[in-house]
Amino acid sequence: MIYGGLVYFLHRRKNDRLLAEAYGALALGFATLAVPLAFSAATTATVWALEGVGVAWIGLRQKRTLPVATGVLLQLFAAGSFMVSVLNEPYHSSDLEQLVLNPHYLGAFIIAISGFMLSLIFKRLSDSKSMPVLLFIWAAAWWFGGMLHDFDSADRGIGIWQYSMLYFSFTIFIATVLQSKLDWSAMKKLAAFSIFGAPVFVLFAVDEFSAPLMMPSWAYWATFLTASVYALWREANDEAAQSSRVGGFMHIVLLWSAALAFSLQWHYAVDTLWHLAQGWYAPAICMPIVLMTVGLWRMRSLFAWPMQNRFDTYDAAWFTPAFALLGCAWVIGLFLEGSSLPVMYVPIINPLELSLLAAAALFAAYVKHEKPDMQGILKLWPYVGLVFITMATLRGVHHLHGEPWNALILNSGFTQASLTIVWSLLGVSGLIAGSFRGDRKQWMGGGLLMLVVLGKLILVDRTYMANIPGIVSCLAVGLLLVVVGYFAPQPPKEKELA
Amino acid sequence: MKIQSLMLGLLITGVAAASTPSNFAQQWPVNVQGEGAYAINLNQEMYRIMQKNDLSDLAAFNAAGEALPFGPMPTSYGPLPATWVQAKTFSLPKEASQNPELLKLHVQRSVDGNLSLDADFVNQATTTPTHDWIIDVAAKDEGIEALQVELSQQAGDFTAQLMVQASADLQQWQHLNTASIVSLQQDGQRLQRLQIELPGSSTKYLRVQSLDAPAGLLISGFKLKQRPFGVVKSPPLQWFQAIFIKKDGRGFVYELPARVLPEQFNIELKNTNSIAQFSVSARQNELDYWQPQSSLTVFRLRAAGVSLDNEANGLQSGRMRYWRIESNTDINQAPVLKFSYRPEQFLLLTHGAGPYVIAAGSMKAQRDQYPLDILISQVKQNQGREWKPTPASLGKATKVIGSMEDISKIPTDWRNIILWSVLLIGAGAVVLMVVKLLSQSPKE
Repeated sequence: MIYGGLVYFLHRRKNDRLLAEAYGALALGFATLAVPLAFSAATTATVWALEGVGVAWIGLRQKRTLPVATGVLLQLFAAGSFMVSVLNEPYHSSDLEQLVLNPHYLGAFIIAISGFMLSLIFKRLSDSKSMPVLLFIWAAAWWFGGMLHDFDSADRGIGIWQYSMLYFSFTIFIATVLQSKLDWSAMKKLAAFSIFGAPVFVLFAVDEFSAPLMMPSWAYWATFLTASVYALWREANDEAAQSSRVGGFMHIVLLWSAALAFSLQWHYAVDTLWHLAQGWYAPAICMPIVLMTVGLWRMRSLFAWPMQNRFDTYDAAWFTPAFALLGCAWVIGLFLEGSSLPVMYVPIINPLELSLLAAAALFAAYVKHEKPDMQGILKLWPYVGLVFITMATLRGVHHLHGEPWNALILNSGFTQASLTIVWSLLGVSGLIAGSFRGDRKQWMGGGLLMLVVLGKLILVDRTYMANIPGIVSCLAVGLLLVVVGYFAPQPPKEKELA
Repeated sequence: MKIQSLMLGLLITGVAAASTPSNFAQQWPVNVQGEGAYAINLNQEMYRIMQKNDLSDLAAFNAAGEALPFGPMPTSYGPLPATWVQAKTFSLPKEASQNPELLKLHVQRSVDGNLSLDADFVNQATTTPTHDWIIDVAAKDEGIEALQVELSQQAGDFTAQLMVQASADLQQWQHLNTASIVSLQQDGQRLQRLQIELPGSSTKYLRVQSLDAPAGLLISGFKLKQRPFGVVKSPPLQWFQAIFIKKDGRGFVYELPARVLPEQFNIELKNTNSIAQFSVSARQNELDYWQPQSSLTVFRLRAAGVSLDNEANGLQSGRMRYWRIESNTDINQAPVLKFSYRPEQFLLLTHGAGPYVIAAGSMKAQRDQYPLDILISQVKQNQGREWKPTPASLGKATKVIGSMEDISKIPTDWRNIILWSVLLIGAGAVVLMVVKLLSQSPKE
């Protein structure tokens, strides 16, 4: 106190800077040492943390290393003192029951706030690049560490999921406000980090409510979404941030989290609530991704709001994984049993095969419009189509004729006859269409397929010749060959190269 | 208190579902007074009138028409599965089998609880083939449902009458069953019937005697089908005949006019002295495919005063409505197809004023789902672990809805309509997309 008074006196009256600073340092030192003597470890921590901020600020303004180092060191001491207080548990457990408003959380909160302030001070007043970042990470660690500490009391009260949702929403909101008010770019990264929690929350919501978007979670999702959209909206309207990638990152994370949430929710509704068979729920899982892809592609201003103007710069982060995922799902879908219960199974007009067709058409349309340089990939469609029709035939045989849905399905004469007929129909249409359109390649393709069918007749269907399916398939192929012989007996001439 | 609030909650859901006794075709009064938990065996009339395969059109109500918690007996109270156990067998010499008094003298129980025979007794038994056996039943609290004869390698062809008796003290013998067993080799086919059904009671000792003692009957041992009694005794097996519908090629098609859960099946040939091999398949709906279920060698031999029939075969088909049996030989007359089933037990928790009724048979109305397991564990907490539901009987059935057409009217299935519209709209959208794609020339 005395030294404090002397500092004040010397500063005011004598304007003796050196002496005032010397006394200032002494006053600070004694005060620092007096704190642990007078207060508990927890209070010491908070006082030291705040004091450290002040000391470092003065040091930075005066461009002197010692006070700066002291200020930073005081943060470490404060943290140590806090840990001592937590481990010694000087509080009644009833004091710690209260969520957030308990000494442990508040201690961590003050250390975090001090760290954030110090980081900002360093950013403004020093040339150091690493210090603000290190201090920010330190502060953020305490910020989230405090949250983790309160999981126990949250579990007894509001629930861990709910508490974390509110905490993250608040973090996003406050970080966005601070970022725009104080031009504090690190805060944007904190908001982005918090938004990255969204997919985790989706998965934990499944654990908590059996599906991500059940009614009890709506209020929390609304809070989280409001905070996140506010952050995105600020980002979209921030002229200075046009080149920043953080905004795009936040947006993409939110979009994918939404897709994940809707997929899981749909799956739950279709499978668990409505008891629809695999043919319904398998496409239902992919449905949100398909719809969002269409939306982000054709109705960008609506689906990509509020980032619609900048979505172009990072849209690959949606479309590439989306089409890759849909591609994988498509291949898996080809081999699914695809029962359409409770509705009768009709080949093609069943949920699985319609979805496969729709996804393929979407992909083709997207490539055609957006990626003209990848048009070559569409040349594969006759092969993909052949595989699709083959699997659709097998699926039809399985559902309508009772053959098993595994490799044994190929051992049935009925299956073989169906494949023979479908393939020869395809081959014949290829031959005829190729002939009419003068497309030699198509004619050749059709012809090749017919050759395969004939080979299959000799090698495979022969075994079933004694049965009706075998006879029918043989007759059908013969008849179709007669038709071809009439309409398109020879290939069209090769077009001359112009 | 907790259970009351739980009941109240259930009551509310029961009222909300709005099924009343008048929605069901028939009802039966339950012969109980006051609140409690009761075990009720379903009867054949119920199985016949129920329309749904999951038995969901079976519900219980109190006098005020409120739905009561009612459902299949929780597994912890249900009948336990039966197991086949190798029995401990002793061959008795002729001397002993002719003089029951001697039996008591020569059979002793050792300190460790095992039965043993006198040394000279044992020697006598091994020198001449014997046709009298004593079985020491290991588990005393299990019902014995059947006995399986195991033949030794040297056994020849035989038909034999076996008499099975039970005793608690080796002195007083109570007759359980007398049945024929057979093992014959004929045209490369082996006809065997080596199982004897028993009434399912518990006993300490069984005595098996062959009255006619044929030469080929050489036995290596016996197996017993034992079933633990469980908490609530399960009702005995009942036989039920399926209705013959039509001849279908070599096969015969039958309908099971009740939604029973068959445990065994048997086929009876109309002609005596015939043998046939049958394959059995079933389906739920007339449009489904026949699913193979089992096969059975059926014989019916009547000669020289002996009648021999094959034994029933086990089945795990679930509730199936239509059955088809196909023989390897041509049979003109439709055989009799029979099923055995054990009436299922339901648990009823009553509240409110009686009389309580069980109602069954509807396409629309159905029983609500009750967490009977939870309710039972709550009651057990209050009443102690030993508590069990009281068996209750049912009164005479009254018809509520006369015509079967009214019962089986299926309500409009909105879900199917919606799903079909989704499919058709989807199909339209896909066609539209493809047309749009094709109309844009790829050269553009």
